[in-house]
Amino acid sequence: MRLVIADDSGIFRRGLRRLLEAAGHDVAADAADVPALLDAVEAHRPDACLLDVRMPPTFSDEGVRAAEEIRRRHPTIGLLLLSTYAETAWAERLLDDEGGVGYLLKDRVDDVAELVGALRRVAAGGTALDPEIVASLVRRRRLAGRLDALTDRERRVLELMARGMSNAGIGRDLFVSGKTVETYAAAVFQKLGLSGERADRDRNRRVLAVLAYLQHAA
Amino acid sequence: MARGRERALLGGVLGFAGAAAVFAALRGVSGSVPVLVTVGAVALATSAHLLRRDAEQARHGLLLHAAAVCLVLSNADAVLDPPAALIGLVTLWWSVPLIGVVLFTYPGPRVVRRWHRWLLVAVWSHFIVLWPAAVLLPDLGSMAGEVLGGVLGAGAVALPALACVGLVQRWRGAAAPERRAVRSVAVVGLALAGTFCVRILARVLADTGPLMAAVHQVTTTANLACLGLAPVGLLLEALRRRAARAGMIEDLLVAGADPARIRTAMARALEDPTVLLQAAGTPPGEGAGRVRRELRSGTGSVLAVAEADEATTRDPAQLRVVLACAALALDNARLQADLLCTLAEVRASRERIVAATVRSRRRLERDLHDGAQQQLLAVAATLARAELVADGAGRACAVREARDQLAGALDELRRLARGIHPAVLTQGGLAAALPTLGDAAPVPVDVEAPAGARFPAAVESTLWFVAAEAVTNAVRHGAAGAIRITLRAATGSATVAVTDDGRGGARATPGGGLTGLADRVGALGGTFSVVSPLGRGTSVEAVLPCAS
Repeated sequence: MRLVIADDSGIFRRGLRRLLEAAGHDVAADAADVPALLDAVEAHRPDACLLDVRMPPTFSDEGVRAAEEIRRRHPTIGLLLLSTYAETAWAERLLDDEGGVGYLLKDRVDDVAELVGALRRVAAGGTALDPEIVASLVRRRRLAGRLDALTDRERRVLELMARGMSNAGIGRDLFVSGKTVETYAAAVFQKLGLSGERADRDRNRRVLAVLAYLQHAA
Repeated sequence: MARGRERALLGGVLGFAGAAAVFAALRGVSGSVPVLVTVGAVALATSAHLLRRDAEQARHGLLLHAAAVCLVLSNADAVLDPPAALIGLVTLWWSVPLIGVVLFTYPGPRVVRRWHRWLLVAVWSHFIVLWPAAVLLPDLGSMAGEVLGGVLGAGAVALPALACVGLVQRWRGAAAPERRAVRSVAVVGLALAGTFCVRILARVLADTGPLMAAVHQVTTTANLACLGLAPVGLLLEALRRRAARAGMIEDLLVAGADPARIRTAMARALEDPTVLLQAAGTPPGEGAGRVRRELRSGTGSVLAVAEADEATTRDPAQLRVVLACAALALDNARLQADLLCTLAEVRASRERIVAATVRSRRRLERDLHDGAQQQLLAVAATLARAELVADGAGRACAVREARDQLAGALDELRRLARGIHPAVLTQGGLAAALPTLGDAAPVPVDVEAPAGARFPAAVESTLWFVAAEAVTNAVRHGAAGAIRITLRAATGSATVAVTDDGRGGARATPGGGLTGLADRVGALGGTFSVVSPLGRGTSVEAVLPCAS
């Protein structure tokens, strides 16, 4: 994949660049702020971008706004936002998108496979959400009591779906066949009253439906 | 003591007057004279008692007391046998000149017009010298006797007439605030002198026919009535004076802290609408006919300046009490304002301290996020890369890189922790901790601190913070070439001073670092000062009280 990365911390940016290069990817440019990032995107048209959420000048949500800008200009470029903290508010903002967007904790750099997997998913128009964010959303819902009807297995499948994984991916994670996952997923959709038909057709829509449920049905 | 003597005097006069009245009644002395005399004496003594409580009116009180005694003595001829009864005859008119002085001075301290003074001299000579002479020396030679009789006769008509003129003059010339007082005594005096004058005239003409005889009869009765009732008039005036004083004090107290209302109350009390209440230090306006008085607080500082018509000084007691009350009200207002101001300052500084705490927590989060966290994440990325690298040499290289990054992160954390509260400060106090400020500074830092000096933890922490901030400022903003830190321990206080040779010009700005330092020092009851002349370095000093 051809990638562009943006992070204001030089030491982390260099570490990330060398990691991705070691993993066999082409890091076309790395930027320390939003203008440099936008220039690099225009120049290189990468498959995906990795963006820090907090960047100068205000260190609040520059990364999210830069992602929205890139999405507006180039809808096909995958966007993976990185953050030091798991902020469910950012996840909520990303739900408005049609996909091709991910949100991971920076901690995930210690698992190259997961990081690259998330990059591939967003580059392909899918979704990638950090397990911690999904877990906190599920935790919130559990506190509200609505997820009690699910079995442990079904809840695990729900979490993996929310992270943006395909049935096959979930099956690999749980050591079961894709068909079995499909059965679990159907049970989950039925118990939560989500539209199974729509959810089955499009993996991204499925994630959005699950997240919307977790976010707003609370 | 003075009060006790006064009461004894009053009691004596009242007792004597009462006894004389009872005695007269027992002896079968008929007529209204003893009763009138008794009433008059009691009223005079009571008004004297009321007036003598005022320092400025003490002389008037004394005169009325004396008049009361004389009035009682004059009753002697009605109740005693000759020759003791002669006392009554001699003192028959003595109360008149005594009261006369009061009529021409009250409420002021002296007789204002020169001819009034001469008139009073004549009245005193007439009643106190000439009249007793005529009584005691009935066998004077015919020539002298005729002269004395002529003078007495002429005086008996002329003096009351002139007194009437003088009193009318006083009445018309009276200005606020003495106007009411002057009018009260003028009415009393006119009644007395007027009826006396007419009575004497009528007696001279009594022989001319039954009409004048009847006039003489009527005016004599009227004059006697006035003689008895005049003291009652004076008593009413004394009572009015006290009531007015009480009302004025009430007005000023009710006026509260509002200078405009205080001024209005003063104007009413002094009956002078031109009264001005000005800030202390206001330059005087046109001086003619005006008086200026300073209003002072309990501690002697000038609160305001009052300006009024000169006429107000004619009743100094009234003016003094009004000024004292106004000063009290203003002082109260000032204290209240001071208190509110202090309270507002304390509130503001408390808010600034909370805001500074929030800011410093946010800065700490930023420092952690941008520093150590990113370095540790870089370590994670490097270690993840080491896993990917196939050859041993490349892997060892990556691991070494990760170790360097880890050392950097640890360094960063240590630096951060020292900035918050260095461990050496807890262990060795300021004397041990202050020199470490020099380790991180790019310029020489000279530290002078008494070894082993220890203070309460809050004091050490705050002084450390002041010193650390001052050193940072000197390097960052002051472009200092050398910095000197001095710690001084005195009985009950600890002082840290940081001076540099930089460019100076440091100022405390709202929300700025220096204001934050001042607030933290102020919160512990200390003082904080910055001296920073342009081009001549900066000197920051914090003194904190501490029980040692």
